[in-house]
Amino acid sequence: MHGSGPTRPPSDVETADADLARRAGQGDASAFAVLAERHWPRLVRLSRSVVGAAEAEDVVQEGLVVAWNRMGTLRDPAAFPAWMLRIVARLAVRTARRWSWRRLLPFSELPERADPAPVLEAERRDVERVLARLPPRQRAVMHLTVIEGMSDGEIGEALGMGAATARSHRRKAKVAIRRILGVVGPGEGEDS
Amino acid sequence: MSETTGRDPVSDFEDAWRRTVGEPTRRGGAEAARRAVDRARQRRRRRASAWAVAAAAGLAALAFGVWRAPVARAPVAPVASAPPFAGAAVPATEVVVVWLDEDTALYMNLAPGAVGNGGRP
Repeated sequence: MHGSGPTRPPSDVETADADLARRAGQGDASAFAVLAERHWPRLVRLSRSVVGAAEAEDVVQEGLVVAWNRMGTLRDPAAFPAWMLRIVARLAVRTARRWSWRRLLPFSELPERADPAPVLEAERRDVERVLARLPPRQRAVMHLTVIEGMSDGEIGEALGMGAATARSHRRKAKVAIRRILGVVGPGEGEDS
Repeated sequence: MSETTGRDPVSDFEDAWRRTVGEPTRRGGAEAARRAVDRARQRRRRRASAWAVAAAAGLAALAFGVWRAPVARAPVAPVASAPPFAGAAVPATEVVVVWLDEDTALYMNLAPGAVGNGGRP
């Protein structure tokens, strides 16, 4: 299990994920709950970047409904994490497109947390202000790049687009972010 | 972002993003999964009952149609059979009956074009 051959054997976590996904596919709700608990933070992070903090957990919750309904169609149980991420990414992009983030999420009405650290709170609002000005798909591409460190191919697979399209979205998003942050003026950085 | 480091603002933004996106969640994943499973089951039940209602309505419509169909077809039949009767009535005016004896009749059908031609075709 922990050998270091040329082809990496699956880790304990991956094996457990595959086993849980297989059981969940057979209708085992408790196995599905363990899987969801394990991947919840990563999925919520992605959702926060795309739809904002207020809607993020509801979107992931809806993603879990979709996943539970389709668990039986998952051919490779070991692919559960990527499959689940894909479901949430698409759902988040669709949700963000349907509702304007800024309209639904006035920054003064962000939900209070149990222990809000003032500096982190201010940072979060600043980050959301920048992300809110990007198209939803670009938010997702940037999240998978900056937070997940994914390659163009992986991003394309997660969002149902080609690697070249993912690269193009990232390039445009980076230009937009630089412009929003005042690093470049209008018309600059178009070809970067 | 709020506390700038004097570096590239984009790097500052990305660092702030990494710090803030990982804040603790309000709900737990297991609880969310349980809710998701419940919701999926509710939706499935609702969808199943909607199908049952639709199927019952369809069956009722079919039964009504079958019951109603003979009544609707009844007046159609004489209309459909009228042309053959009407067609048969025309040659009846061109039939010549010759009684050979009390029990034997000879029927001669004359074609319409042959009427003015002495019975010859």
